[in-house]
Amino acid sequence: MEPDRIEAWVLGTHPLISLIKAGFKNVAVMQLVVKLAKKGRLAVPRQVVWKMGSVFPDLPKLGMLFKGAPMPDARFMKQVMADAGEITDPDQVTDDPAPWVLALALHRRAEGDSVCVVSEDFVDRDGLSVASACGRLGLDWMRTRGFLEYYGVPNKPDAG
Amino acid sequence: MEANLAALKFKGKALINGAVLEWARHESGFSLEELADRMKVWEEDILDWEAGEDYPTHAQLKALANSLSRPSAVFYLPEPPVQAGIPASLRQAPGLAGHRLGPQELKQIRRARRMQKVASWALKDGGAEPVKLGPVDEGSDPFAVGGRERRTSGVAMSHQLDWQDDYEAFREWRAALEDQGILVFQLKMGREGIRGFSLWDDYAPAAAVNTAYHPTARIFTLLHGMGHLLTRSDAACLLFPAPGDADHGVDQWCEQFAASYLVPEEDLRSEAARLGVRKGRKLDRRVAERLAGRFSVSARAVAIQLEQTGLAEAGLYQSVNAADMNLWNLVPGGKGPTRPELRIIEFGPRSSKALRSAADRKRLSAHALTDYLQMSISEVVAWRRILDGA
Repeated sequence: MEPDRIEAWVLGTHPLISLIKAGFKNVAVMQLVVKLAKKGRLAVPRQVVWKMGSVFPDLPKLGMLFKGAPMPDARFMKQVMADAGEITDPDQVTDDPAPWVLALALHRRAEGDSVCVVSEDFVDRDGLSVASACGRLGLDWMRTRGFLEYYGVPNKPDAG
Repeated sequence: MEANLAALKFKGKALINGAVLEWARHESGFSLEELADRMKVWEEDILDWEAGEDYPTHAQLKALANSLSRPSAVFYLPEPPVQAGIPASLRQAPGLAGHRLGPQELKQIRRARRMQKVASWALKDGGAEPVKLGPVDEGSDPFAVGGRERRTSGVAMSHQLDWQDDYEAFREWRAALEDQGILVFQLKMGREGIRGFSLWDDYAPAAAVNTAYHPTARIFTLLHGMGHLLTRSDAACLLFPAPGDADHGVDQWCEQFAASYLVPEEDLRSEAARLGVRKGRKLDRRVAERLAGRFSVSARAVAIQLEQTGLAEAGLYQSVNAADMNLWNLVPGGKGPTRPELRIIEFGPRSSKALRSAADRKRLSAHALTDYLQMSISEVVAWRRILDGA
């Protein structure tokens, strides 16, 4: 694929943490993340930023990179929950940013961007994984390793 | 056109589905007033949101999701998720005797169901066989079933009599049941809350007990829950039904099953003889309490068995019950457990190891673990270390 074919990468919580942790060890990863984030080509919904605070509170504040993280339009949230609602377990007692990641991807696509979701959630357990939900919604999906390979950055992201 | 006008009118608001909000509020056990108080809004605001006449802001949606302990995306579902929520078998269990499950109990039941679901998946995914437990007909003799199940439990009476204290007894019973494939959860449900609940699953049947209760009461509830699992009668239990109380059919069965499991008849006779208990002589409740201390069980369990074996006349249970000794757990002093330790205490070694194993097989991501365990990544690392050392 051409490096610029994908205009927006929409990241889930785990890939974002993985990339940031990897960036501390590999400057090429950090440079890539910062460059894409500054250009608005690395996108996360606000729910991912909130989630980061609870699952990775010891991470140095990198919120500036995603300051003003968007809230996807309600119509895309409704589309995600109508077509792939099993992605989230209603019995979960904490918030789940995954549907918001997909809604943001649909939002960006509707704005004309070519979009790819980056996620490590590809095993269907009780409900639907992000990978399967992407299939239903017609969204491209890639693992974190694939994202780095896409840009030719050699790295093995920390599994967390 | 109409949708566009609404979008303009409610710009900046979270256009959720009011019917789902109403469902979530009921399912979480909140009245309008309770939720409004917690959200610091007017009751009318919530009514408007539920009716779809107005919408919360995104900040209010975040607070709603937090108050009702639900993922915020759920509120965008086209309709309430009827498959989710608390099953009627628990919500309307006879053992509740009309008690309305409150927000804390409902949240803990949901946490338990979610852990049970993922543990069941992890065990099945790892090649485990379905658990061999019953089924037993409710019409069978609970004392006979209790005695039989105890003989196959692998817990020798000499071992039981050696336990140093009631906390060790609880740990040992928990381990024995987990060895049989039962997930044993210990959850904080408060003194006003239920004793426990049980949920059948072919791979991960679960029995949960309320940490507010004394360890011996928890042990009794745990075995009571095993009775529900054997009879496949999922239930939540608040009361201790008295022997002969015909209003509590299956709960009565489970109490008798638990008593005969914990205090086998022959051993009770032998220990009672040591204390000079003879058939036909009126028994003081303090004798039941001494025997309970000897077996590391609740006096209620002993009283049921003493009455059943004829070593005590009917009425002993009532006097033990009225004295209500050793019902509540003492609030422990000192530093509490860390969150990783707490999760293992809450969900038990069996489900913890099932999740750990799925993570080792790369079938459960580190991120998924943080979600299921409600911990940060560094806490998950500590949790794994504790399990490694266990």
